[in-house]
Amino acid sequence: MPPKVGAIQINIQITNPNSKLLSESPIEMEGNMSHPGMVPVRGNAPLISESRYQGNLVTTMAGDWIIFLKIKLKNGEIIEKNFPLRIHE
Amino acid sequence: MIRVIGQSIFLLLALLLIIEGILGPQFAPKNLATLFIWIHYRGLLVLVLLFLGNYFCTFCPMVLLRNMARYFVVPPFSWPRFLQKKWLGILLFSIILFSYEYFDIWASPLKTALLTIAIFLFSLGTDLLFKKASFCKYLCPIGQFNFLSSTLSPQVIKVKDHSVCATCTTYECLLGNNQKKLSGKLGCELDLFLPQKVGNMDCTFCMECIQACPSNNVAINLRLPGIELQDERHRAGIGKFSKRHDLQYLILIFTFGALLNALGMVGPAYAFQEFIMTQFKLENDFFPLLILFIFFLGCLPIIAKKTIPSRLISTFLPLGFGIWLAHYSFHFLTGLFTFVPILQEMMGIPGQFPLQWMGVPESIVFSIEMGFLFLGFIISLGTHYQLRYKSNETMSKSTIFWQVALSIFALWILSLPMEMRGMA
Repeated sequence: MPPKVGAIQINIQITNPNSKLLSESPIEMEGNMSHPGMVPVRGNAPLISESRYQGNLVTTMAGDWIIFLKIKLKNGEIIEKNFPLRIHE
Repeated sequence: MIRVIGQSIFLLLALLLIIEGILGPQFAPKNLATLFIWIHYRGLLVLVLLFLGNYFCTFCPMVLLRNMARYFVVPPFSWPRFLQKKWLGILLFSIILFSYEYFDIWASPLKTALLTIAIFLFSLGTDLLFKKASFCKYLCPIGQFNFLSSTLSPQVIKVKDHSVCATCTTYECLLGNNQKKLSGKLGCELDLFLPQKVGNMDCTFCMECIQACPSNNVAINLRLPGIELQDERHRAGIGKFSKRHDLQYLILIFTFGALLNALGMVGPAYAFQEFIMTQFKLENDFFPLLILFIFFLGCLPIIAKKTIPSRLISTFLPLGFGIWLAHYSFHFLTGLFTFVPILQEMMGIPGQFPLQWMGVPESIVFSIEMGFLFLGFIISLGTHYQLRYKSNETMSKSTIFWQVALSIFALWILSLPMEMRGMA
């Protein structure tokens, strides 16, 4: 089912070759529309099981979004990833 | 001097935004080039036109660049007589609108920067080949937008006392003075002879006429916005609106373009494009978009032109401007401070800027949008009534039909939830 305007659940799985837990901190999420000047939405995805994180973002408009993730690793290093998402009306 | 300072600031800003567009992050909401050009520049442009006058042309950085280049290069040609109409301006205005949608320029900092460079180069090239303000008057798509919109501005440059002009034999307002000196004035480069100038059409608010007049007889005046649309006199450098087919098409394309530009951001436009793409197994949206553009900027203006009396076509300007205002002010107000987190990141300032401070809430902005639309509709209808009343005629049914239909269509578009698609 395609994601719709409103609260959407984001599930993130982080793995590495030796399956060790990379981070216990929640992942910071920020959703931005592809159009400039739109207010972003923010949320956190806490760890729910080994290597799996889950959180909600409340999208405000249909269209093309980019979800930015900020992952703070145990060693203090910060990794930033993003992915596109189309939200439907 | 104030003008040169303002132009220099705008030129510097343009240069910085071009650099940011090329070298900065290539994600539109996080790049100042896309944000300032598509949100803040356009929003401020329409609001300054509404509350003051055509000051963005006053401080146009392209004119500063041109003036500097003209110290070294004297343009050899006069703008060809057969091109002294708005047709090329209409073409460029339409091309910009189409490219904006098809190439998703708003979603690409690089494309935004390249478009800015292209407009600067095109302007410079034209004005180094042709004398006077040929680019401004006949080609500049932003200029055409400003000229039309400024007919609704409260400020106008005009003669203080016509009896003073009656004794004038030197016509400095048009011809300039002391042009070989640095302090010399050019006079109106858009051929607006001040004693016969009516309203703001084609006026770049450059103030050359004010400074050139030896009798200090030209000044900025306040007037009722839109009142010039009721004035059917012959206009210096323009003629009569009702006799200029090119101007009438420009007005109609400005009005229908406002609708099309807003339509490009709502679901039905995407549904239409997807339908055409599926039916004809197309791989991209070029043809569906072309159909929409041909319909809105070709078919509808032609039908409207054939069914609306020529002298009433200018009454569509308030409505068109109202739709542009509603659309651009929405983006400007809802995204007013979205540049703060970008600046924070650029300067390494820690902390998260609160989301609720980034812009005016949409519920408030929606009321403002509706207000602009309603105001445009009322002024359009009022101007229409006044023009017919003056000639003892009843209101034109076809004009009322178009004015009501366009307003309802605009109301429908602006009431729909926005849907912004496109990744550059």
